[in-house]
Amino acid sequence: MYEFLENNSIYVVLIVVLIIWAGISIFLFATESKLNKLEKKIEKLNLRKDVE
Amino acid sequence: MILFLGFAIVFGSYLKLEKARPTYWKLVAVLIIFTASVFTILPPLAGNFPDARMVASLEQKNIIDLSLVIESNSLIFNESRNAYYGQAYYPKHIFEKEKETKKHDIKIEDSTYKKLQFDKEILVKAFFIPEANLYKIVDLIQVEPSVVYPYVPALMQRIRNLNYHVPMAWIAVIAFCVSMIFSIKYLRTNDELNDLKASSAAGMGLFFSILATTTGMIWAKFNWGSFWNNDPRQVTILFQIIIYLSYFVLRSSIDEETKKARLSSVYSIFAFLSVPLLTFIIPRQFASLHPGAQDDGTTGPVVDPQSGMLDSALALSYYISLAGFIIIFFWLLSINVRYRFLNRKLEFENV
Repeated sequence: MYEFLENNSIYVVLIVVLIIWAGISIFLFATESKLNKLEKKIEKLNLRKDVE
Repeated sequence: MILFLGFAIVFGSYLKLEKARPTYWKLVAVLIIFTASVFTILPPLAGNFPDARMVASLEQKNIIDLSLVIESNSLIFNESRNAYYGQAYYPKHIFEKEKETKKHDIKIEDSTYKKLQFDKEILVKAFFIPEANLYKIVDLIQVEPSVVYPYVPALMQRIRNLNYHVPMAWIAVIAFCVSMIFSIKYLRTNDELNDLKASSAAGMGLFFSILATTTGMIWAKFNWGSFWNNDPRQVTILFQIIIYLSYFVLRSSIDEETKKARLSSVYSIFAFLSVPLLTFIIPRQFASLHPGAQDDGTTGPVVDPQSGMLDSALALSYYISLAGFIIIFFWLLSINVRYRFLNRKLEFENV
């Protein structure tokens, strides 16, 4: 595996690029889940207001 | 360099962080990052004749990866330069198609080999045979290549990592700077929203520092032999990560909101004082595996392209990539800030 990557160095670049995009997508997933929680919270608040 | 950096920072930050980005802004961001990707991956590598000689003298003879730009009028067929350049021959079958289209003038010298004569620049696979003092051309890759990157035997294709690994470290510096600016703003205005922006920016800086470290480690494995080499820059970025991790430790250890905001603002301002020291000064004082070290004599190819290591095409693609990633950074930061503002607003309404 190491030798293959050593001889085909373009795949090292691929790994680096994938790490960066994986990092950015982890950030996006985290923000998405936080937003989902927030939306649920807002929904609950609205329901409470309706009841009142 | 300064032009691209300035454009990206101004374009990224002229809108307020808490506002939604308009469509044209997002389109420009996507366009720049797409252009950067194409510019990074597409162009072939091309060495020159001295490179071919150098590869031939290495222990591991890597014939396949080497490509050459041959300017027919100037280089190979000048008889007076034969002593230095040797002669170029290529197998007969390769240029058969080119001959049919009659785009190029080909001289036939021998029944088994043709002597190569092009009126255009071509990119070929080739290697140097020291015993015979000639260059053997194996394959034709491209006629008139528009953009080529320099062939560096130690880096090869990994040279493209420059456009991804280095912007991460730059973004970390910019993020910490943004964090400091909003910390100062908080201390002047006592507006809690500025504190939120400052801590978001510090978090993004930490995130991009970690990305720079991991991508750097992968690169180091293939160029320097192991993931961690205790290189000055690796050590200083580790310090930087620890300094900003303790910023978040500090934040989470204080419950009272105003006290937390004030203390962490002061901490962020002083933490930023260490950033120029750790990224720009200390790594240049020691012998390092990174370019731009003390034994290098220059400030490094990224800061100073005239130092002779950065090819102009590669420099341009690097600047585009840097600009694209900076704009992406401001986009992500804005998303994070908007979420936290909304969260804060909701908490206030709840109380």
